[in-house]
Amino acid sequence: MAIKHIEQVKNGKPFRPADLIIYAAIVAVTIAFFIAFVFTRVSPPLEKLYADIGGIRVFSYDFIADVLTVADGFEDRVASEETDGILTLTVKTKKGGYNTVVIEKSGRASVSDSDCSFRRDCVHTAAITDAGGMIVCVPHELKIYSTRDIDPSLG
Amino acid sequence: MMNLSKKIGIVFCFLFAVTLFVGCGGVSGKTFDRYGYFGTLTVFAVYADFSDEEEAKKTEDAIAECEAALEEIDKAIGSAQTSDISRFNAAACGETLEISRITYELLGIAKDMYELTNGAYNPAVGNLVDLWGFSPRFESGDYTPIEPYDRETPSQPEEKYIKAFLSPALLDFGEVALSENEDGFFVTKPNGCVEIEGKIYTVNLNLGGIGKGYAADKCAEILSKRGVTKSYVGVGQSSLSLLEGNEYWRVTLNHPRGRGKYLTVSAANVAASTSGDYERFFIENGKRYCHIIDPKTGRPTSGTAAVSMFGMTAAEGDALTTALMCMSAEDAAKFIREKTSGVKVFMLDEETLTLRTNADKSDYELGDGTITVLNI
Repeated sequence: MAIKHIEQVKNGKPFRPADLIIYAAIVAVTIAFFIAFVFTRVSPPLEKLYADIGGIRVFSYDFIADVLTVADGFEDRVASEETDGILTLTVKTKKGGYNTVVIEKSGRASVSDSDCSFRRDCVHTAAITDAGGMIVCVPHELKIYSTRDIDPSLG
Repeated sequence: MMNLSKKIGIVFCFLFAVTLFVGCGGVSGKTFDRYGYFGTLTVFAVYADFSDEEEAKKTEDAIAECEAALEEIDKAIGSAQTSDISRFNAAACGETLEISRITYELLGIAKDMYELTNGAYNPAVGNLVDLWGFSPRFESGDYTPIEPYDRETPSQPEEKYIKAFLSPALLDFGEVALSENEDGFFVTKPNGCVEIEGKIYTVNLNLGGIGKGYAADKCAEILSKRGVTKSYVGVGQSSLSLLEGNEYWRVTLNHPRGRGKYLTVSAANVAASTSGDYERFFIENGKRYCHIIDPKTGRPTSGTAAVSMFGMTAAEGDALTTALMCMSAEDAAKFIREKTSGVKVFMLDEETLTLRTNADKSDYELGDGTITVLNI
């Protein structure tokens, strides 16, 4: 039986027409999934939030795992409080200033207070509600953003 | 039992699928944030194989050269008291000052845009910008009132100052004279002055509507010259100079009222600019007052929430989007049709959030949420 099988394999062609059709179908499905994944995505909901001061990571928050990670060396500069699904972070920035970052665990982040400037533009910037959002406090060099995708945004 | 060729075929297909999803090995995208120029954040974004020392060094050197250029431009037109623009603003009526080549070049572009837009873009609105609380001295944490019209909190100024600063003597940018000779470059301040309660006010320039775009253009030239072409540079969140990217960049336009992204445009080797009422503003009695001052009324613009443009240089786009914010929707549409070519413009109405555009539907993708689109 085994010898017969070996003979069959030795005499068989490497690829029969039906085999090629199956392989082509697998490749086509793979390409279709790839295109669908890359080119038809809409704004995903907020999954992660990052905050940098002067380009250096201060903290990040994972909405799905509900984990706040404060970077080494910034533990004394980030104070956090939690109430009813809202995380309030007071971040001490450069030159003795501060920004208060409010993270609603349901998927929203904003700056509620700061001593940065006359108008406090960061406080009035629209909240981040999906991947791609960003709030910048220029006087304090604080950038809060929700994606590591480097495609640019305007406005 | 499966024959050998089928097993090899299935493994091959699996490896091919994995390769597709993993993508090109080694190349990754990184952003480099830089603060301290023009009172805003400058971002360099580059796709490169950063694990390759030579590639990483090439990027590092290109960004360092860009920073040197930003430093030079900021020294020329920024808010430091020693900058050419600050010295011009502090000078007396009719005074002539020596300026740098950079300032001379940028003022030349500003004059072209002033004429093209028939004054809708007017950098001589400096006094009005300061009056409304949007000049650089309001951007730091150590603001103290120094002018008789300064207020304790962001709010509307007194009417008498708006009227005074609308004087043609202060707003005629056409009277700012540029000259050059073998000794250098010069600018002469107009003779027009206005006196308000014993204090003399002269022509005051604010290049916020063009300077960032100019800086983005210069950086893009450097990146291109150094072969760092899978990149872009963004000065503030309003001026972008895009090089190739990984074939192209997907540029998203953020909704002016905070509803995520309202538009995505795939673009490469082009400049993109945005002016909007959501970047710097204050709200008083439920009304929004933004930093873009209409030279005709002396007040912040209203009616259009944002204008974005792809095409022209970043400096020109910066000035043009500012000008379009100061026009009515109809005048802006007419201007785009008659005075521009090869640019894609997107204008979002403040109240109805209707999008007016001259771009083809295939040029953009609308984001989440419903927006009415009108072709102009």
